[in-house]
Amino acid sequence: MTAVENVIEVPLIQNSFVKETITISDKFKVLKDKEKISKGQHCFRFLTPKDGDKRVVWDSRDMNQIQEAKNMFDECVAKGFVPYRVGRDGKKTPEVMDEFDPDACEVVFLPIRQICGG
Amino acid sequence: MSFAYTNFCTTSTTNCNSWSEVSTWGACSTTTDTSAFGPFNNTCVNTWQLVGGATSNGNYYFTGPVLQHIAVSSSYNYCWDSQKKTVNEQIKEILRKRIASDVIVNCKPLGHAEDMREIRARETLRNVIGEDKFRDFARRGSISVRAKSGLVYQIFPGSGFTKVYNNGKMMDRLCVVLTGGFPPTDSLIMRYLLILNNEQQFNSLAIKHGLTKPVVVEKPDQRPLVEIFKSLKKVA
Repeated sequence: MTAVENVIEVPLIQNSFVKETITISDKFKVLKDKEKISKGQHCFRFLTPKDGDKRVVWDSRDMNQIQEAKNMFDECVAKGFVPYRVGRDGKKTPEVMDEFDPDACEVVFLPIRQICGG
Repeated sequence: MSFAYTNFCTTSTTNCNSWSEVSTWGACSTTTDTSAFGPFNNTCVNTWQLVGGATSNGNYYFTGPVLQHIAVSSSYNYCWDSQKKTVNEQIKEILRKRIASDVIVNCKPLGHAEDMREIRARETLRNVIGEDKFRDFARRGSISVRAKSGLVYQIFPGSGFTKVYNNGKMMDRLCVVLTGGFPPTDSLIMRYLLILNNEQQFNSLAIKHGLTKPVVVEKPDQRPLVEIFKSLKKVA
């Protein structure tokens, strides 16, 4: 198994090949295949071409990690990701998040700059 | 009386000799007759191929594997081959059609994924839509979402068109994709989230491909079987 990369690439502008990166904090854990999210952990899921789905988990009981998660959330939004709060096991209808919510267990980030008509 | 026109196909509108897929030939009393064989003759005014021989009264006959039915018109006889089904076969066919469901099934179950990216994307989708919906998705290969506008969107993975339905009637086919080599299920997640939350944005991004020609389902004869049987017997 290849080492898990700690960066997420996003196009600089709509459908561009020029990428900018978002670095994942060392405090967070990037889940490997078959690894499960444990109790107390919240998860950011990024749709990326390289991984299909990159899962970054952080501890919702650790204030430092919550702060880091907020910073990462803001950076992702600034760099063209749209965050959707989803309930675990489809229990909740997904909704767009306007701001970071530490209670959101699962957030799916959609790379809006890579969406186009076909 | 019904005719088995299927053997009288042509790609030519002027020359009967170039008719194709004809195993048995029909013939008319006149060599330029255009009425005897119904609608196909409207486009064919050339001579019929004479494969039998003319009788004393001037009618053409024809040869073929089996010839059973002869219909008589005012001035000439004409025939068609015996691929016509028997009464029993026709009744059986009607019964089969009645038993069969009146639904066109066009689903492609989810195949096995070897690509780790696709497996991860499917895990995410399972998490987003829930176990029950995911099972449906695995069986049908698509998921249906009712947007806030009331329209129902049928979403497919990969670059498949999103079909839009209003009260069960297809209204449009939209295409929205993720560029950059995403696994197919990621595209489905993107469409699902956009439709539920930003339907207008989804529609503005989409390229509209319009409707396809609707598939016409032939309705089986709904008369009582006894009545059908009687009419078929009368014809036979």
